[in-house]
Formats: sequence, C-alpha cells, structure tokens
Amino acid sequence: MVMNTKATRNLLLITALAAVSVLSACGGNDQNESAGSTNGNSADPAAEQVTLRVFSNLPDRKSGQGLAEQMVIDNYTKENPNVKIELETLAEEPFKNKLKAYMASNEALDITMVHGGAELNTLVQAGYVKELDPAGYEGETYNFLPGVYKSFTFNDKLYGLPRNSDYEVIYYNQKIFADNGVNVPATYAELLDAAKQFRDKGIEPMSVNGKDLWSFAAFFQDLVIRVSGDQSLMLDAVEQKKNFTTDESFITAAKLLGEARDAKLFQESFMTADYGASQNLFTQGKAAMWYMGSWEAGMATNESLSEDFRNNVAVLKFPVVDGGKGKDTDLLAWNGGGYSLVSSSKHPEEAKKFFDYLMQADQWAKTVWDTGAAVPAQKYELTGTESGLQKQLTDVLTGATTTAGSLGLDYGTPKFKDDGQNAFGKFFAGGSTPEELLADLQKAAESQ
Amino acid sequence: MTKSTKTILWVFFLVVALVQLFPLIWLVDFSFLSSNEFYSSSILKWPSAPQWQNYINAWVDGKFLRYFINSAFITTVTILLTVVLSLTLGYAFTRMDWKFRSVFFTIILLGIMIPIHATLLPNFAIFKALGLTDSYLGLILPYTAVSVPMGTFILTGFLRSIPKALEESAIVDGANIYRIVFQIIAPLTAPALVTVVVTTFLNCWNEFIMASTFLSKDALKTLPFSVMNFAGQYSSDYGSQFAVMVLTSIPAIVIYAIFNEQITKGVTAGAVKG
Amino acid sequence: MQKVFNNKMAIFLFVFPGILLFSLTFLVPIVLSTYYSFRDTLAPGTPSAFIGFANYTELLFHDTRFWLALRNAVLLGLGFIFIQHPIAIFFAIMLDRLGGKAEKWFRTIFFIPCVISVVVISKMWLSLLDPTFGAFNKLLDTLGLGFLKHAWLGDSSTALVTMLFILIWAGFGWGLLFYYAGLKGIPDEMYEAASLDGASGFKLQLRITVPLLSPVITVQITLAMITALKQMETVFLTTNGGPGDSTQFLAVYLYNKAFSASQYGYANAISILFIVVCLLATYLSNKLTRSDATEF
Repeated sequence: MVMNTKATRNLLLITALAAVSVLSACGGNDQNESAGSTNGNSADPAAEQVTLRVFSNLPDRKSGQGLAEQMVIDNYTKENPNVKIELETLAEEPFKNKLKAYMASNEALDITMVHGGAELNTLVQAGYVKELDPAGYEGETYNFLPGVYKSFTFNDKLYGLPRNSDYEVIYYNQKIFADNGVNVPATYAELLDAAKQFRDKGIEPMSVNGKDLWSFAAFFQDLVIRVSGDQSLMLDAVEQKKNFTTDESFITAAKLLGEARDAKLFQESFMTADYGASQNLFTQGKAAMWYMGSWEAGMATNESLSEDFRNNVAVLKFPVVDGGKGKDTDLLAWNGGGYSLVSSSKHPEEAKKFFDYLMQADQWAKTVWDTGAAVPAQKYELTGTESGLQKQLTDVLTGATTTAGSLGLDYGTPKFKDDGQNAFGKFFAGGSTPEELLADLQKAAESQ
Repeated sequence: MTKSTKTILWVFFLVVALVQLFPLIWLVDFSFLSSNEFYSSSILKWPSAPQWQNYINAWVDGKFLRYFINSAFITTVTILLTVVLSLTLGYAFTRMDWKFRSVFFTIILLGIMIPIHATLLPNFAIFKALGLTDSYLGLILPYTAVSVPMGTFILTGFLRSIPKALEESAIVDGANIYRIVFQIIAPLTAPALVTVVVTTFLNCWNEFIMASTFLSKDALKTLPFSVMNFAGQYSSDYGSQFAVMVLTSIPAIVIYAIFNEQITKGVTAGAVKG
Repeated sequence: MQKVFNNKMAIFLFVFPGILLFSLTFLVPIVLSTYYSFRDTLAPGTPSAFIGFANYTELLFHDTRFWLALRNAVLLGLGFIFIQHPIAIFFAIMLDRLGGKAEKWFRTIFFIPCVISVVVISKMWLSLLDPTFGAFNKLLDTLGLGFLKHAWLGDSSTALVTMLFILIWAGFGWGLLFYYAGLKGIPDEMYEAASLDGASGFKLQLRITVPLLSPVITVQITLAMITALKQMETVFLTTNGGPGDSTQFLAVYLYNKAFSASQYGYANAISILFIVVCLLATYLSNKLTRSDATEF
C-alpha cells in the first residue's frame, strides 16, 4: 500500500514533468524564434540586449495615434539597437480589462498606456505604476502645457504623463449640410432643429458611440457648462459639494438632454454603436455630425476614407444654450490618455530612458501633431502643412476662455463612473425622466 | 406519410434551412464589399468589384495562419487530455470500488455548473503564480479542466450501459486494469468519446474570454481572439472585418463537414443514456 | 476480480490528475473568491479591509441590478425551455419522419450555426440587426413590414427578446441533435403498437415520443437552465448588458464590476452567489423534472 502510493507519486511526477517540458518547449520555440530574428539586426553586439514590454490601447498601427506611437518606437529602436520593444495592443475596452488583470498579477510590463483619473487611481492604489518627479519634465525638452497633470496627480504625486489635449467637439460634414440646405447650428435649439430636418430627409443627424456610454456623460457635461457657465459645477457635484437633484442648472441641462433624445438627434443604432461603428457612420457620409473628442484630427488625412469626405469634414464648437450663462468658448477639455512606468518593470532604467524619449516634445507631441492624429498636451509648432481640420481644432483650443480639466465621469471613483454610465444608459434606452437621471447621478455620487 | 405532406414538410424545411443559413450567406456576401457599399439598400449585393483586398488584409494583418496553428495545437492537446482524463475518471467512478467515489463524482460534476467567469480573475492569479500564463499550457490546462466534467458525465452514462462481462472475462485472462481501460473499454466507448471530442473541440476552438485574459504574447494567440483584435485594427473597415470572420469560421465548418456522420452516430449512441 | 477493481494505485492514477486540475481551476479560485468577498477590495493587490457580510447584504437587499441580472437569466432559461426546446423536439420528430438523403442534409444544415465561434456570431448579429446597414431591417422593408423596423438590440424593450432569438438561432442545432439522437433510440415497434391502439399523427407523437424522450428532455432542460445562467460571451460582445441593464446577466455584471468599476471584493461576492444560484438551479431543475436517469 505504502509502496504503491510512492510509486504512483513518482510515476505521476515523471508524467507531469514530461508533459510540461514537451508543452513548454513548444511555447519556448516561438519566443526564441522571434527574439532571434530581431537580434540579428543588432548593430552593436557589445551593448546589453534589452526587451521592453509596452502595452498600448492603439491596435491600428497604420493611421492615427497608433501610427504616431509606432513611429516613435521605431525612432527609438533605430537609435538604440540594443533595445527591442515588445508591443502588445488591444482595443479600448479589452485593453482596460487586460490592464486590470496585469495589475492583479503584478505583471512585469515596462510601460503602459493609462487613462488619467479614476482608472489610473486604481493602478496607483495597487502600487502598479511608478511615481514620477515633475521636476524632471520641466523645460524645453518636454514643454508640457500648464495644468495638464491634473488627472495624473494623486495626493500631490505624479504617476503618469498625458499624451494629448482632449476636448469634445462636434465633427460635421459640410457637404451634407449644404446639400440638404441645413444651416450649421450655433445654438442648441438650432442643433435640434437641424436634427429634425435631417431626420425628415432620412439622414442620421448625429453619430455617437452610445454603447460605450461615456459620450453621453460628456454631452451632458457640455450642456451643464453651457447652461451654468460654470466649469467646476459638474466636478463639484461628483465630489458632493453640489447636488445634482436640486441645482437648477442640472435640472435645465437634463431637460435639454431629454430634448436631444426625443428629437432623435442620435443615429438609430446609437445604443449598440461602439466607437468604430459610430465613426464609420460618419466617415461613410451616412451621418451629418459626430460627437467625439479632439483626437480624431487624423480623419482629414486618412487615405482610406473618400476624398469627398476628407475635403468636407469640419469642426463645430458645442452650441450655446438660449438663456444659458456659458459661452461657446467654454471648452470641455481634459487630459485623458497618457503613459506610466510600471513598478514591477524588470529593466527600470531602460524603461525610464524610453519613457522620457517618448514624452519629449519632439517625439510623441511632434509626431502626433505632424501625422494629424491628435492635439498634444505639449507645446507644438504649426508647420504650415496642417490640414484644415487640424487648424480648426487648434483654433478651438487656443480660443478657449475656460477649460474643465476633467471629465465629470472620471472625476470620481471607478464605481461612480460605472454607476453614472449606467444612469445615462437607462436614460437613453429605457426612457427614464430627467429627474430620474439626476436622482441616479446623485445616488452614484453619494455611494462611490 | 402521404406524398403531399412530405412535400409540405420539404418546403417548410427548406425555408427554415434558408433562415438558418441566411446570416452566414450575408456575411460571406458582404465580406466582398467595400465599406461604402455596405450602406446600399439591397439585402444581398453582387459586389461591383469583389474586394479580395479584404481577404488579403484578413490573412496578413489578421495573422490568420499563426493564430490558426495556435488554435489547432491548443485544441488538439486539450482534446487528447480531456479524452484520457474523462475516460479514466469515468471508469473509476462507475467500475472501481473506493471510498469517496460518490463525493468526488459529485464534485467533478459541479464543474458543469460552475461558471468559469466567476473564477476567472483568481484563476489568472493562480496560473500566474505557477508561471503558466503566456504559454500554451496556460490555456490547455484550464480548457481541459472545463471540458473534463462534461466528458466525465457523458462517459459515466455510457459506461453504465456496457455490461461488465467483457472486463470480467479479460480479468480471468489475466489482463491488468490499465489494459482493460485503454484496450478493451476505450474502443467500446468510442461513440461517447466522439461526443466528448466534438463538444471539447467546439468549446476550445471558439473560446475567447480566457484566451484574451491569459495570453499576451501575440505569437500564442488563438483565432477567436484575432477577430476581436482585428476589429480594433480595422474598426472602420467592415469588409475586412467580415472577411476575417469568414476565414475564422471556415476551419470549424470543414471539420464539422468531415465528421458530421460520426458526430450524429456518437451522440445517438452516447448521449441518450444521459 | 475484486482486487483489480480495488487497485488503489490505479484509482489514484485515474482520479488524481483530474481532481488536481479541477482544484486548480475551480476549487482554489472559489476559496480565494470567498476570501475577497468579505473584503472591500478595489482590485487585487490594493490594500483592503475586512467588512464582514457587507458585500452580501448590499447585493441581496439593495442592488437592483443584481436581481435584474438574475431575472433576465431566468427569463432566458424559460425562453430556452418553452420556445427553443419544443421547437427542437418538433423538428427532430419531423426530421425523423422525413427520412432519406434530405434528412441528412437538413440535419447538417441546422447544426452549422453551432460550429461558428461566438465572437463571429455576436459581431455578425450585431451587424445584421444594425438599423443603418443590417440586412434584417432591409428585409422587413422588402416584405412591406417597414413599420416594424427597429433598433432591435438598442431598445430596452426588445433587447432581451432579440438576445433570446440570437441564442436560439445559435444553439438550436444542439437541441435538435440530442432529441434526434434520442428519437433514433426509440424502436419502431413502439409506434406500431400505438397505432394499433388507434392513435395517430400528432397524438401518437405526444403519447409515445415525448415520454420516451423524457430522459433526454430532463438533461437538456437542466443544461438549458445552466446555459442561461452562465450566459456571458454573446451578451458581452453585443450589448454588454445594456441598453440600460435590459440584457444584464450575472456573468457580465460580475465581469464589469471586477474590471470596469474596480469593485473586486463586491464582484467576488457576486461570484459566490452566482455559483450558489447555479447549483440551486440545477438541484431544483432536477427535482422538478423528477429524473432518476441523471445524477447531478
């Protein structure tokens, strides 16, 4: 009996070991293969070979920000042949989930893309990202615009650097407006009127990525700013310094939001449309407008889109509200995306070197501007070759008289974001009243 | 059955079959269109110029071959492990004589009920601690674990219907237990094993939540994941997205076409015994 | 003889690897989950405190979304049982009557959606039902039913029914295959005997076939209930629980709580209750169908 179990154990062990070695051999081969092929190009065999792991939310490497990111990576590996950058990219939503899994297991990434605000806060609490010294990023080399660290600072400590200046605008197709004799709206009432005219003609007025829900919250915040003229009202309410349900501006804004819903401002499929779907509708000329952030300047230069579209895409500031205190130069701007260094990095020094390189004003900021992919969070020079769309976007930013600094949704905890998004989902899909929306938001703010 | 009712039945089935297949036909049709043709008003559309480029994009940028090989390897090993484990477990639960038999049997069967999504995150942490994430094994082991309960369930049901006489005479001939299980019982349970193979194949081949959570290295990723990834890369190019979806579906359909008869026979012989 | 079936080493060899694997992927994670479910963890790795049953009381008594998710799962399960399975049984009987080459062809065709990856199915249906370029609304237009045009998955009043429809489309083949297999196991003499008694047509089927299929039906109903409860991928990839929670399911809710809302402790409490619900449902479904053929 005793003999038996012992023999059994040994046998099992052998079988298990055999199985593991066979399987890991298969996995191992792969890595050697890929590592070998790049190492072959290395010019300086003396320098220590380092592989940095970078995690990004930009899977499209051929256009837009993904292209810009790739160009900087290529620049760096060309200058530093001993460094190999192993890049993993996932689309936005899977990216966020995977990053949580990495955080849970303390995966040894070197650099990761992060979303400022609530998302980054969780990473900071888990100790997954490294603190940065702001002093190291002052001066000409980096040239960050003032106030851009807001969503990356927790307890007065900096944990990441923003890559863009983000602000919400309305992209619109001039040709669709002209062809249908619809005036470009300057007030909210005109916007809803335009929606009606487009609807009557069977054209989708405005495309929005309703499945992702955050655009609704941004739209609402835009309305709150236009009604109240107060950039911090929404943020204060998230922090419970103001009350969603009793403040007049919120009540008015929620009613206006309800009007947009009832006027069918958004495309028919808006609740199932993800980012790509909503963009597609607009870029294929099926929707007259698209409510989105400033990071889509690349549309004007994207060769895979029709020339007709590229020549006609333009930018509109969020319209003013009749009787509202806000001006159209009060901009809902913030710094959302950025990069952080990961604490569990196996090559902290090399990682920091690349990170600093990436964030230099003449790398990411310049590249992303030159490729027309986004508006940087750093000072950039106009080259004169900008597309019309880029110039319009710059004008919106430079003409802004006030900015918000953060999206309301990202200003609270992740739980607030989740509950808040759900409140907007209920409002748009289930037809709850403006009062119910505000009550839900208030509850979300209180229970975060 | 009269001839007329048979005809009615025929027509009825034909209509249902068309409804069943229509989404797939539509998918294939539209995978040949360019993005702007998507918005035309016709239900099916003969492409003005078939967009083979969509398939080139899918094949090259979708890294079809790489992911296909990964899927094939992971699925094959999982199936082998599942079959062996289900057979031995099933045999131990039905034929062998031991103390905690029914307790362990119940525990294993609980695996059918327990949702993998409930255990996904701790699972990831455990596999990570064992150094199994980011390897083929990191998917093969959980896939096997998820497939074994159902396999055991199917096999125990089938084994109960096989008379013990064969084994008894084998023992009289001096065969040991391993010979009995792998040389005598295994062939007898072939129909049930086919069912196990098929269900395991379909589950693993198409699984994506674990694949996307457990794997980071691009070189290891599986087919369903490529559809997800590709949708991010080509978010505004529906035609190419459809092409990668068509490509991904083809292997499973081909395998199904080949094993169609065995599957039905296997299920007929095996599953009914429940 | 008994010695062979008593062989301790063989039993160990047969059982241990399976149990070990099972423990790694199910039991240990459940223990970990239970631990986290009593803490206010934001995410694994962050500092947390013991909070007793707070997560559970919040879930059971204050969280309407949890109950909504559970209700949706039950509705989906009932949809499977009372719509999908009767259809599958009906088709199995008809197929069996049809015979010949056609029988084989139709059987093959009906099963094809079952071999398609859930990722493809989800994305495909999302596109098919898209109000702007999807074929479904165009089809309604062509049939003169334009007034029915609708954002099927985008409206909370139709989203769940649409989801059921998609899942039936995708899973119908499995039910059909199992019932068909069950029918093939019924000897022809049974029918002959019954028709001598004067039963015919539909009555014959009802009296003979359905009772004889009951072991299959029992297993299938239990599995249908579990499938409904465990529903995740299709929902996750199409509506992600929306719009407005109308297609919220436990697995999706738990996934989003753990990943998006950074309420890891809370999500683990959902996990534990989720498992309890699944086990309970299996037990009930077995009790209700009073089966002695299964041994869950």
